Amino acid sequence: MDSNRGIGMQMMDRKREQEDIESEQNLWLEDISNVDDFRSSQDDLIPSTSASSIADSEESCSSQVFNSQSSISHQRKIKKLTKRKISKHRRLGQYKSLNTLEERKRLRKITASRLRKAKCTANTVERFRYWKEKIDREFDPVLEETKMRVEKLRQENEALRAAKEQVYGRFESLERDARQLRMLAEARQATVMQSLLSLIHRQIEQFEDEDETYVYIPDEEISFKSAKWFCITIHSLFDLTIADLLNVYKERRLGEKLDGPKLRKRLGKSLEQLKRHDPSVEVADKPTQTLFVGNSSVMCGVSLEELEEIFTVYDGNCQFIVYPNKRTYSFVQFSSVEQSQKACDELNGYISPVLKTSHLPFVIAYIDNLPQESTAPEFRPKDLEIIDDFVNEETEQAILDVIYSNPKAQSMKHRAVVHYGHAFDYGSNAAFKPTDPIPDLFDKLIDRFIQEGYIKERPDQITANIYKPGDGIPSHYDTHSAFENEIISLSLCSDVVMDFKDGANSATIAPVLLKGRSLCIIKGESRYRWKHGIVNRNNDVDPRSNRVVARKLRVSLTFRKIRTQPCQCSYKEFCDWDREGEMCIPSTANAALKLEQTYVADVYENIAAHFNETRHSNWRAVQNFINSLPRYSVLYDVGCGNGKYLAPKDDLIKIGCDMCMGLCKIAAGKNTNVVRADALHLPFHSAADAVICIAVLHHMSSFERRQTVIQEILRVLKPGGRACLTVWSMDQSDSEYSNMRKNKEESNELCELTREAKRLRIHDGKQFTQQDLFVPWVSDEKETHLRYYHIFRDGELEELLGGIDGCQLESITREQGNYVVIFKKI
Amino acid sequence: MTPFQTMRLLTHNFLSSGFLKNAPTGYPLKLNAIKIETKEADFDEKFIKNMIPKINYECLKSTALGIDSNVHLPDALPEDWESNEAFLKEVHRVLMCVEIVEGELQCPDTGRIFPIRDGIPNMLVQEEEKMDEQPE
Repeated sequence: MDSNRGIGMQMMDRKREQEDIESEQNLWLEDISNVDDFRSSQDDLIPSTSASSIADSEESCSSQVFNSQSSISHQRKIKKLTKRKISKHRRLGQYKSLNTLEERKRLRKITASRLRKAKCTANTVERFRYWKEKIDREFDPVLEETKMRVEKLRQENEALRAAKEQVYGRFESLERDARQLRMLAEARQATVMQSLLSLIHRQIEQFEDEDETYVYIPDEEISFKSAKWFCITIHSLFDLTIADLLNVYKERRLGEKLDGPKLRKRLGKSLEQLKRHDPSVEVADKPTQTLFVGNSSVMCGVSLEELEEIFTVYDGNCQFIVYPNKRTYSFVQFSSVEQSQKACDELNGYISPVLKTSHLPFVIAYIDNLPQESTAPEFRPKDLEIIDDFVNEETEQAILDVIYSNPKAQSMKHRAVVHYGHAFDYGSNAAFKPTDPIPDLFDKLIDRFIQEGYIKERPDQITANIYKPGDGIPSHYDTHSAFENEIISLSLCSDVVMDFKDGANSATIAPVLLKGRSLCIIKGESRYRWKHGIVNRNNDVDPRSNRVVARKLRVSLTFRKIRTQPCQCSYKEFCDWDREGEMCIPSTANAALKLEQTYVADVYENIAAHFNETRHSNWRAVQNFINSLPRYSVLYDVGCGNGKYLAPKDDLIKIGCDMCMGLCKIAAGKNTNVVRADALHLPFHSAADAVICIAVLHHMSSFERRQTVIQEILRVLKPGGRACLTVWSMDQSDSEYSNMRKNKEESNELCELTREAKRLRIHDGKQFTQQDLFVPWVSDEKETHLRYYHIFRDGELEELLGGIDGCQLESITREQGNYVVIFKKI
Repeated sequence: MTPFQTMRLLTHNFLSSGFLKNAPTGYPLKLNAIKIETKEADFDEKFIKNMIPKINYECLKSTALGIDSNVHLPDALPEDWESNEAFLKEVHRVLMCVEIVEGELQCPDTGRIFPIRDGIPNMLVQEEEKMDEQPE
């Protein structure tokens, strides 16, 4: 533009110059005519004078206008020439008697006019030459320059156009990138959220309160309504990290003692928590026997052993009331006020060097009373019955005498055992061989069980276990097909806490106090579905009073009836009998269909709403696949679930299908196109540019059915169309799922990772132990649903796809315990 | 109530009962609409323009006419379809705004009926109705 304007300006300048030249020329012509006038007025002067005056005036004129050397010399020439002509005429006059004035006048006139003409011509020529030169001199470089500038501008313009195109291209790609990133970020955020939730969930699961749950962060307490974990933000994660850092910092303060306002502030905070959780506790204004001790629970990293070590210094018999995973504080009850006063004085604000993980000061206050025992019914597995004080102390002693009279009971190794009736075989966890007869005293007990209606069948196998303090028994089921439904356990001597664990979710634990001389009847769900065991430790915490109880020697008598027919319990997934193949990995098409109907289709219909609430984040690889599709591609989502991939508006023509009506409706509620259909017979026209099939294939229970799904996907694709499919992988090492299951027990059955496994099992551990299993889904109503999964081995997808015509494998990647495979129809 | 999307003719355009035994094409499915709703949807000219080459126009036109006599779609795709705004708007209306809430789809080859309830076509069939062999 600038240079254009420059050119315009120059053109203007040039035009103006031209005008100037013209005006100058006019001026010059005027001058010439002036000269003529002047000359005519001097008619009578001699030609030389006249000529010289003309020349003079001419010269002055020219010098006035041009001051040009060349034109002056030219004029001089003409002057000379004219003089010569005049002298020639004079000479002629002398010779040819040109004496008449008339003749001289005429001659002078002609000469003058000729001279004038010649001068005029010369001047004009000079003028033009001058202007030509001037133009050549001045215009050519300008022209040249202008040409160059135009050329340069043209080039610049072209470069700009290219740059513009590049920028547009870049912009578009950036826009696309941004879209991808945004989706990725959302997915990441959801993943972070999920991992955070699972992290917190892991902790919360253990110390869930009736309506509120607290995650303890040193100095602070963040409360989450248990139903609203979603409000936990990244911010909380920061808080946790900062709390960690603070703890490191506090490490240096072991042995320090806080006092003054700092301590008062901390105590105030702790007492606020006390008031919130246990409003029945009154804080005393003068020393009492019972202390409230803040920052002293397992949640703060303080173990019971540490607590004992610190407080028994003041009173060897002091009692502890603890809330391992529910509160940040504990109570310590002393035998006398003096002892509690001493402990309070010395420990309030003190960060004891005994503490191994916690670096928080104890904050202590006197209290008038302990919290009331919970009146809410204990959380117990269904069908479990406990009868306290079933036998009196006299009978207890008599039973112990019978047991101790057996030489086997004298063996003081880990868990001494005596069997009566039939010997329990620890290899098969069953009993076949008759052994010592059942003593009369035990028979009388059995009579009472039957009379009082606790059992129907008469037990024929009794096991007495002698536990030293600290001994326990691993979590186990009593083999379904070895013994009948009811199993009775009579506890003697010491109290003990038995943990019942849900077989479909070993993180669900019900601690049950078995008091000395109490009867425990394990039957129904508590027998068939729940495992039971006793942790190896020296103390138990009474689940009702939270009082720490030291274990003593304990003896238990277990009464069982040997089963002679296969187990017919309704907990068939948990049962060791496979129901004549029903609980086996399907080997026929019909069995596969039936299995999927019960353990996939029906389950999804039941859990659809809850499933929807938990499915938000997208797999990165799947999102990348979707983003890689050209705009306006036709995409079918086979097994669209809650429609999480269908819902975003992304310039694709998307249609989903799912077998579950509940999920179809949920997806349709997100403004998506859905059809109810089976992945094994897709209801689509072969017009898809792409297909996604996310977490569907692993619900197919036979190789043929898995193959059919792939063939169906290929059938509905256009030639060249691509598909992205995900399945669960045996290797869960990188997954959030395994993180979520960290607190589950390690599976102790060492199932071989072989394809030879015949029986479907319930997955309950960190790693998958076999390929075909049931994975529990715990609904928000705490109901457990078992879903069938076929977990893929490394290389299995290659095998599956390799056997199908027209299928070209593009890539297989692993993401969070899943295989993501992309293939193409050729 | 949340906006619940029922079956659009767009979905119908991609459905086929070709998985059935004795159904060589299964396309297009005959649509018998019992309850139709017309909803508002933003007209995205670019999207519609790009969608037209992806759909089966003949199927769309005949199905639309079958359920609504007020449909103004020419027999064949007009030559100026890309610039014909009235045409594009009509395609948009038919594809995106007309929704089938209740009705049925029928296989053109076998006559098998697939019900549409709550706007969701149910394409599930019994095992024995399916193709015996997958095309190799």
